[in-house]
Amino acid sequence: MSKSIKITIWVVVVIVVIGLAWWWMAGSGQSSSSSSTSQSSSNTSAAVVSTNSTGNIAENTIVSTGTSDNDLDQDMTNIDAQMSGLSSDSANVDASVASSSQPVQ
Amino acid sequence: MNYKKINVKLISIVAGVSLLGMAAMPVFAQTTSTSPTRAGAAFRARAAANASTTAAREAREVTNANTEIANRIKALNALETRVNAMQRLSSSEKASLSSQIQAQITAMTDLQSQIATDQSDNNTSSLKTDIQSIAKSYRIYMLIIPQGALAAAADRVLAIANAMTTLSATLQTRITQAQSAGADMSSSISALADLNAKVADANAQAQAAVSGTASLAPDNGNSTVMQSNTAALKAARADIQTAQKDLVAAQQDARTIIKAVKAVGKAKTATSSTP
Repeated sequence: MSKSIKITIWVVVVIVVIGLAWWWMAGSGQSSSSSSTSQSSSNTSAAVVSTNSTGNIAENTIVSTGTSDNDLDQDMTNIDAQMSGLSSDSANVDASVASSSQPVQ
Repeated sequence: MNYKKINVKLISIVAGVSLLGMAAMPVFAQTTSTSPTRAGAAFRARAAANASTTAAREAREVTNANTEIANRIKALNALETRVNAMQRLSSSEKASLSSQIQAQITAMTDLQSQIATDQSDNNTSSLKTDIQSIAKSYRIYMLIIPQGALAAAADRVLAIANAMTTLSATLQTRITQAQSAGADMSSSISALADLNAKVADANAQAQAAVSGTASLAPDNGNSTVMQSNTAALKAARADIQTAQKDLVAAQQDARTIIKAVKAVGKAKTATSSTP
């Protein structure tokens, strides 16, 4: 095989490869642009917060009106539980407000 | 004519034909050729493969969109449950939140139907717009969920503050009893005053968080409204953080007082049991 024929074959191969690459890129470009919304909303969903916070508030049972030491201890135990719930609520607020500050693409 | 010249011409012809072929590929990919040639058949096969790829891609995007919508509806339903469990917010505030949540659930359900229609009608541009609108137009994660989370936290602050107010009255009774027994309760009185002040501030902060965010509306793409909403949500978050710190301080005050009144009680018991 002469040198010129080899060059010819290489030129054809390079053109075909470039052409296929261009064709592939043109085809996938639309795909990537149209899927950007799904991507951004998937990112947003990572910031989904649970609004079903720790325990429902049963306000009437948080504290009693008893004045004994045991009553006071029980009142503090109940308040501690609600404070834990507040920590959870506050964490939800932080997460949801932080995600709301991110720009939507 | 020597071989070198022939080869140069051959290279030029092959290169030219190849380039023309590549340029024509997209055209063949989007039209149905009736050419019986093998090249035409190859192009038709490629076009069919491309169409199949596009359909598969759209199906994936619709699946993703449905997942995103389902996630939002799930979050909204959880928020609705939480709103229904609130005890300290007013009926009108709860009703306003519930109304917004239900409106968003309806909008998400309608959008899901519209996306299904777009897909069955093969309406690519409408499908793309509708899928993008999940995040861009409805602002569920940007406004509704944060707004609900703030209301939930404020409601709990108000409930705890109310409970601490009741506890404060009990502690006052115990302090008075201890003073009657001759104990020095000045530090407890001071702690109780601080407790009451912290509870009052927590109440005020929670009310501010609610009133600052209750009337926020989706921005619908208006950047000024979006910035205003974001600022209001951040301010309300700061209010909740302050309220939480107030309640932690009040909780500590209560512990201090309880420890003191218990000590007086034990001392009294020990004195009375001494022969």
